[in-house]
Amino acid sequence: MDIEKYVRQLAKTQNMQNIFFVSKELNGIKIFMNEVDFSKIQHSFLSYLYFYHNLHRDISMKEVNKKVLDDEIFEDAYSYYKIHKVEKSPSAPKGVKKLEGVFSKDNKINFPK
Amino acid sequence: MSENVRESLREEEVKKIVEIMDDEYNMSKVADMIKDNKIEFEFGGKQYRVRLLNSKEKDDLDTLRRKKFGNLLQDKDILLEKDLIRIYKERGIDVDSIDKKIRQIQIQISAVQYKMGVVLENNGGDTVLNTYKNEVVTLKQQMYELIIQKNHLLNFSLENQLKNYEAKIISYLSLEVKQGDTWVKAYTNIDNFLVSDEKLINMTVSYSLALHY
Repeated sequence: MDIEKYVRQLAKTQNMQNIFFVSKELNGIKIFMNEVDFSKIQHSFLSYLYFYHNLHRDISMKEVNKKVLDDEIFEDAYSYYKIHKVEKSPSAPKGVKKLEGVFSKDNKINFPK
Repeated sequence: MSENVRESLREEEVKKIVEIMDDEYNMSKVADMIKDNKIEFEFGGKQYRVRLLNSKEKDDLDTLRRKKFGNLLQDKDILLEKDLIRIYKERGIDVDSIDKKIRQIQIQISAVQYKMGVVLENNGGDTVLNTYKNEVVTLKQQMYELIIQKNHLLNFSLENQLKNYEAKIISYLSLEVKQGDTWVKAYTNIDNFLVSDEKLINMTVSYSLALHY
């Protein structure tokens, strides 16, 4: 089984996105049973939760059409573009990122600071 | 509609349903894996689990890794990656150029992703998007082939042998078996673990690598 593939699919589901959203608002709702010592797969899952949360936020703000969710290649491409368009923009100060980017330049997922 | 066409459509639909069921089953397995920092599985009628290493086990990992590193260094038949690359180059196989090609393809992929992002933001048409998508798929395929080629060439380097052994040490250290209501270490030493059932070793390595960096 390709674990990473299903971690991503699971994070994308409406159920998990709802739990993620509620856990940010309410202290009592936890995503995992453990509160420390996260495993690699848990880190990966959290990153994808953020990733899809940001995509849904952009869709709701009409920054992108929901068609982006039709294909993982579209999702990755749009996220890559979002990070790099800010850097390419002439009005963006050098070295300053405006976005709460989930992906870093090398396409690895990082948590927003 | 001919009988053959109807049959073929039916097969396609059945295939799709099976795929959906497989996806749902695998997602539920993954949901179990992420609920805490342990992964439980069954093998040979016994219940096993892998978990994160504690501080003492991390020390044990370091000791076993150093010991293996020393053994590998003393073996004159095992080459360091840089020496292996040099020998390949003398025989006309340039590993560095494979690396260079991989980096070039990554740059090409990023360029297409950026263009695709522009189209998505501007709600562009499916035809353009699918053209870009196919480009990315082709480029990724080329990149994976090169990565596999490189990995295959360097498979027997000292670094890779150490890395593979390290995965087995982590697996051995993190593997527990359920006895009654308690979890106990499945193997008392790594040698016993390494001669156990190959399927159990592979499952343990796969799960413990999902937990550990």
